[in-house]
Amino acid sequence: MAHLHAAFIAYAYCFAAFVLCAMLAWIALDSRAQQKKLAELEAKRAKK
Amino acid sequence: MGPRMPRTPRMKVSDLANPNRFMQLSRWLIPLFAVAALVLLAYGFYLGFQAPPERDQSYIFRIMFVHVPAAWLALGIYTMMACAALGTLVWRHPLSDVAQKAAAPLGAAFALICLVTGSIWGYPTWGSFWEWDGRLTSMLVLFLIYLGIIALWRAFDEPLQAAKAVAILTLVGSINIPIVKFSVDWWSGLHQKASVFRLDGPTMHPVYLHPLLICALGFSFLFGAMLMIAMRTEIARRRVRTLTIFAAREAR
Repeated sequence: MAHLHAAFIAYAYCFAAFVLCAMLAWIALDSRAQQKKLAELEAKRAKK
Repeated sequence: MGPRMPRTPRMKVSDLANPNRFMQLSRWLIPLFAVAALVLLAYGFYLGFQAPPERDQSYIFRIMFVHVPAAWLALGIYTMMACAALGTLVWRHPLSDVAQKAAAPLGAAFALICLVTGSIWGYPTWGSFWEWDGRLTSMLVLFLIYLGIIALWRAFDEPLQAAKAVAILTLVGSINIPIVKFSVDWWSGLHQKASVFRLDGPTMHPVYLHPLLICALGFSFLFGAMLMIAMRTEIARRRVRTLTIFAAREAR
């Protein structure tokens, strides 16, 4: 029974870790993309 | 009488909601929140995994340290979004709809974690991954409302128009929050009744309650850090949009 429980506990923790890591990666990539776009647009404006 | 001392400018609470002030503050709050989250989660899981097996559930109760904080956050984030929706509709505050938009995917992620970990916990305990019980169904509805809100944000090009529509949907959907909370009291089902937030105090033994509260605090700091990053990104996205419109006008 204990080893069966261990498997269910592992599935639950792995799923939570996967969702949180995916969320963090998405937030980080989105942030980098927007900062890059903003820097490019501001550089263009400064040139003018 | 000598010259008066100049009055030092005092920071008001409302200054925190100023977008420029928010950008300055969040820059050093994000790493602080991230470290607090890591330390608290590590300590909470350590204490939780040291706790003795529970009388009825043996070791499977360990899923609780992820499942319960995820459920609390899914409800708490929605409540925060409903307050921000009021800020959008009543006070038209610029940070309100930024916070609403940034929080929705995070709330959906915690609702999904709650549903799936609950399902994994349900199988060895109830013999079934899913039951149409009041708590499970209302939590699924909350997850679907989060998805509806995310979809509505993407349906509009103009962020201020989207903010109004989303704020109305968020406020209408907030009727589901007390339903999730009290579903275990209103309908009999498989899900256990409240054992922490009760008028007569928690019924859970401190050996399980303390790690649970530490983990919940850790996940809250993690949410806070992720929310601030997402809000900064949303502010940058709006600046990009404005600058693109200016550039297009100038090019005419």
